[in-house]
Amino acid sequence: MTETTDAPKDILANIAQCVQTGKADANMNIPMGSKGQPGVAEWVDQAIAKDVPPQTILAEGLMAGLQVIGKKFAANEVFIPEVLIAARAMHAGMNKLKPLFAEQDMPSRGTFVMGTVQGDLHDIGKNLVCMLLEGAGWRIIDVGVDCAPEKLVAAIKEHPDCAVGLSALLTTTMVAMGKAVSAIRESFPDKTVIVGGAPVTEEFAKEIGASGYAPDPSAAIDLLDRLQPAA
Amino acid sequence: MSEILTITTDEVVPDREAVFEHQGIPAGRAVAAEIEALCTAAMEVFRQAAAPAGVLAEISKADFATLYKGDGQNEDATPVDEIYPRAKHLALFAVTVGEEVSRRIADGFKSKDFVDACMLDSVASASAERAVEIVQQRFLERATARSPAATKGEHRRLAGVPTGETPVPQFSSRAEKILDISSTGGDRRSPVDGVLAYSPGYCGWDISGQRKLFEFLKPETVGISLGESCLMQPLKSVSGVFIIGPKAIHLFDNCYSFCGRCTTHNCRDRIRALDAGG
Repeated sequence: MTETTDAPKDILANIAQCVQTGKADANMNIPMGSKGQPGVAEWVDQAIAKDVPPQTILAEGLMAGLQVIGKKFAANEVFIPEVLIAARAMHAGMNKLKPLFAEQDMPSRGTFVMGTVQGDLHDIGKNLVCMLLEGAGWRIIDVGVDCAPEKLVAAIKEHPDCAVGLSALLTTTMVAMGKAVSAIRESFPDKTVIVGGAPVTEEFAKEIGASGYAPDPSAAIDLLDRLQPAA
Repeated sequence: MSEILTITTDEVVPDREAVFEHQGIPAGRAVAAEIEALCTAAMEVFRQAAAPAGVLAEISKADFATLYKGDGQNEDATPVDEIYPRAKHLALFAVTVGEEVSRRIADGFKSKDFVDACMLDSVASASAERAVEIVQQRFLERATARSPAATKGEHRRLAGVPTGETPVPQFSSRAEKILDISSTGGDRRSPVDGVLAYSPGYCGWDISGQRKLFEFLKPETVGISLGESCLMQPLKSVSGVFIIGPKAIHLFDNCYSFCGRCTTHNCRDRIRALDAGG
């Protein structure tokens, strides 16, 4: 924890730090032995009390913390549980901020439609991508697992400005990923479609006509920033 | 004729290392106390909810040949194409850790309790793999009790090593070690048969192969059903074929058309594991 004053920058640093360690609130005993100490929820309350703008709390506190975890995940310094715990802590802060954003519109990076392709029921990778992108400000439309191309196309029609993410874990469902991209391209030739998952490679992504390949959930954030820059 | 197998929860509770592997944590890596605690809690939920079951059916090579062709959607050449004709015993199998575990995982994800749901998911995945190992070992013991293991000469022949000759170089680094088929050297074990499981959805066996497998095996008797996309319910179920024979038959290089797209290359670990166990 940052040696703290009650200066807003220290509070924001503590929020980011608590996101990284997964300390959602004072009741939570994560990290072990930290029960009773302030977590994300309490630090966000303090930031709000100090009139720190919610956008700043989100960007420089919550998102900053989750981005560090995303980078550590990409570098194999932390693994799935740490990312999930961090995302949970971030959501504790988001829940505090949401009522404040209601009046001035929750900032959004864009809409992201995400699904695991047909024939594949694996959803952990998909969920990780959803959580990190949500942390990066994207509005997530999770269309679930075993998604037929028609389901993806229908979701895109509902959210025409969205970017799309497709996940596959099985070598054999990579074929379904190709079919999904083709189906999307038929109706939305210029749609940003990014792909990822254990068997997927950059080369395969190009082969099936995807806009880009994200080797890990954190890379999806940078990839989308490149392919679909913020307005 | 399918045989319903009794599998207990205690038998399939996985090692924590296996669970952490499913969480992407490399073996031997130090795990934080809070992650250990999450794993312990998920194991407890699993113990309460698991209802493991399995079904096994021996199958002739002729019947398996038809079944394996499925709807004709397999890759042109696959390892199983090469392996099963040289097998001594084949059996189809399906195992599950039960509906309740899958339901609790799904509920966790739905309610956005990703941390616990994901850990339970990993426990269940590791447990399903453990169930496969248990049934596989039972089948191996039963089958080898009926017929003797292959001789060293058979191993050499099946590995493509001419009788009386030293193994060719490409085998010397793996076959010799794995199968103990070198013609020189001293202290050697007797060759034994090995078993590996192969499943639709992997190594060129198209997932649609599940349909024929289910027609023959009838896993519905233990509560496993097949969905439209050929995926099983409960989710934490595994099906496939056990192939028993001299360990040499399971050796293959990862140079098939689909191997280039595979990033896990689990087949290498599986082949190496033959040396340690069945």
